[in-house]
Amino acid sequence: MVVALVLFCWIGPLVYRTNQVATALQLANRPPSVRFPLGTDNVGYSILGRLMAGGQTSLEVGLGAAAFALMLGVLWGSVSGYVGGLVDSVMMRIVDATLAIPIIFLLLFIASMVTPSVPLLIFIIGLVSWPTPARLIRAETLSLRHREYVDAARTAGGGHIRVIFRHILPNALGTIIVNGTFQVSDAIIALASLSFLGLGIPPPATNWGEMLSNGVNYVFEGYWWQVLPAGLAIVVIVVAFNLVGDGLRDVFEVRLRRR
Amino acid sequence: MTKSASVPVVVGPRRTARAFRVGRGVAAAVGMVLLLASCTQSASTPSSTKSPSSTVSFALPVNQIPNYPFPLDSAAVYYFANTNDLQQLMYPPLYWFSQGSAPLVNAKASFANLPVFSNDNKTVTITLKHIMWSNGRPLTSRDVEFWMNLLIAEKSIWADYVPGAFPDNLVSEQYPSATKIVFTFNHSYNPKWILYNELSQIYPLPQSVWDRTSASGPVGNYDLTTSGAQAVYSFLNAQSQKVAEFTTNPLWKVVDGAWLIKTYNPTTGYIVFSRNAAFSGLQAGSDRVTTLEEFPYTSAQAEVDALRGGSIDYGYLPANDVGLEGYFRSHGYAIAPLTSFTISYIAINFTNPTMAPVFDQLYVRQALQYLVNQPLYIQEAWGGNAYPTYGPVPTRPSEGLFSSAEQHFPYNYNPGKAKSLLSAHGWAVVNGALTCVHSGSGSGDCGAGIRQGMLLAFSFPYASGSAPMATEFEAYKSALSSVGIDATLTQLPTSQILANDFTCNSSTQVGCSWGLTDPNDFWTYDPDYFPTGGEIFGTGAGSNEGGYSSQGADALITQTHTSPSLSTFFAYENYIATQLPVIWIPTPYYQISVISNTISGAVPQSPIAFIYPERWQVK
Repeated sequence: MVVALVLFCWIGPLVYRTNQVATALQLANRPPSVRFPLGTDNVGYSILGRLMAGGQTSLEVGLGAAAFALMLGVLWGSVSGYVGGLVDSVMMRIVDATLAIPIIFLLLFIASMVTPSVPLLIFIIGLVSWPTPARLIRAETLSLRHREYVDAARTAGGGHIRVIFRHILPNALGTIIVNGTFQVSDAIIALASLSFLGLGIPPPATNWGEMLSNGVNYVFEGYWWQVLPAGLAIVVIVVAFNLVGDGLRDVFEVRLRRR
Repeated sequence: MTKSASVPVVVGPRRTARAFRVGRGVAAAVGMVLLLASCTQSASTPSSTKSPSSTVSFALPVNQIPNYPFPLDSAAVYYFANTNDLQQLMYPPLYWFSQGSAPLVNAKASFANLPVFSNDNKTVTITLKHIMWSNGRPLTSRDVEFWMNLLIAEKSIWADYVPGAFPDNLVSEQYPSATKIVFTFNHSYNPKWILYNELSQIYPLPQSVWDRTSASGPVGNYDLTTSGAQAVYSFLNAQSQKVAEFTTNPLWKVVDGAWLIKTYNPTTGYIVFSRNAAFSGLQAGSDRVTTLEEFPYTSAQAEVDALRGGSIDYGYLPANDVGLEGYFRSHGYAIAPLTSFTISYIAINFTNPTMAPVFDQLYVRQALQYLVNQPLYIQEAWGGNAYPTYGPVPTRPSEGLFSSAEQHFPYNYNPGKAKSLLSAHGWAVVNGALTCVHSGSGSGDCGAGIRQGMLLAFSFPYASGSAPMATEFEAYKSALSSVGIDATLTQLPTSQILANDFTCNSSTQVGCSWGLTDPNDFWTYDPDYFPTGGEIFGTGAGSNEGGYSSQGADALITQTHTSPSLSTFFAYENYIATQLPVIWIPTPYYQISVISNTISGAVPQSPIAFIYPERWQVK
């Protein structure tokens, strides 16, 4: 499903060519037809073309923010778990404090301070998403740091950084990958939420959340085609990434059991 | 003058607060809810057809509650729910403006006869009609004097105060009898300007009850000294803020308007008015409305839901919900767009440190205007619920004040002309961006202060929450892009834009960064019904958002105040319409009113959005 959506977003525009930069107000709010299979939106963009363009942004931000959050979280959690003691306590209290602040509030606060762009949104969403992987990796590190092979590496003169990167993190890879898939879907929803609240990327760029937000304005007009496709796309991509995560978790657990 | 930011029920500015939680499961829920919403919108709950009653329920503007009955308003309380939906029901102005749907003085409904001017237009004599207060006393010139004394003592607090104008331009006030008032001005003025922009701002107050400095103290003539008037103002201002006492405070039980507060919920703003039995002004002869209920709402959606539920007799639709018109027509309601005496525009920042030299060039402003496709925006963005703006005088309601420039607007949509204007002045698209390639002040150059290589690029913040406005500006940005102009659109809350959209303060950098802006504010000529526009286009004027400054405009504005000649007014109008101190854009209807068929007399609606339920009849 994920592959199909990626193909839809990046290969689709090569097959179904639309202008997603210049508006065509005279074509606004057209229902689905042969010319516009999913109709047009409030400024005359083809919804099908818009879905492709919006999907690119949604996936870029989702993947980018997940990668950024994982990078921060993995580093933070592994150092915290590995060093332990007072450092661990302080680092985890920071994580707790960050988690205590509602994510949507943090997102809105930061997004309202700047003019959103794709890199900025990746940064903002990543910045509020790292505590979860940090806690997971910290827990994983706590259990791994006393394993024999880690002790052996240390006894053999391995430095802390080498031990973390060569012996601990590779063994936490399953957790990292599984959490990464969930992070992607969370980031896509976060972007959709921000856009839905009007803090998305300025036009002519768009994403599925923004399309949804636009479409909801016209629900009473009966323009269902402005709501359904974007809503469905969000549901499908999030479910797809969650299924990937669930599948990977099963794969990793099976592997561990066989060991 | 009313600068109506987020004007109460203007079709555009309504905002629907939406909550959206982040969480993995939420995606599915949101998707499903929206699926259901989009599928079920046509299968809505049927509303009841309104049954006749002498009680009328009225929907207040979104997020506004009436909470200040004293009509001498400071800026903090100066909004429609107070002025139109509370104060004028209890304390109408001396002169009533609205003749049908035209913003003209209504002699019949006014509490005074039309003023008589001296030959030199420096002195005006006003004669009061026989109007009664609800306590049985007649309205006299002392009540007008009381207002004037409070106003003069506290003019700096008054939201409508313009230095040099009313009451500064009064040389003397005389009250020779109980029904006569004589004002003498410092110059000979245009009588229409005096009536429409100065005398329009007089609200008689019950001196015999209100002229006191404490609730327990005696009534006196405190207002006759400045310090006394200030003390009276302080007392009345404090009383006006005691919302829990609105129904019991004896001050508010003496009115010359048709309505008295019967019930008030200080938390929600829900208010019920009962009819003032002693009202002696213009009113319906029979089948009168006896009770008026005003319902507050926190979102347009909630108001629409109440309308659909059948609990509102007089409400409104947001522009993006006009698809419901048919539904309401078939459920016992009439649809009546309300056209206010309003213009709409995009402000230009003439003080932007980088872009000011560019915006100073008339040809740039002309190009920006040529790219506004008003007919298309009206049709597609506003669903036909707007009308074009061609200058400082609203095109509706038609007042016979259109100059040649407004009748034959020279800058109708023409991207080709915009492009040729820019290229003829040294601009070319370089790497996709419109760039000055011929700096200098010559005829084919970009203009003074514009350096070689400068881009025509700027930020364009506009108010969030209005779907039609977002559509309009997205299309405008696209048109700008078509000639290489790069406008960065951002949606921000109105309050955030208003805090930053005035002239650049170089020390704080506030107001410096924006290029174009529209905080969703419309300029309604109220209570300056003669649209001379000094408050928005005069140098240094309080609502001159972009810092536009032109000696020519200033001189013409001043002339409209003094000369009664229509040609003088047209000269001003032509100048402003063609010099483009702002970019003219379509003006939406004030609201799409939805009025129960059980009410008659509510249409035509006042272009000032006043309501006059005392003249309505219930069938």
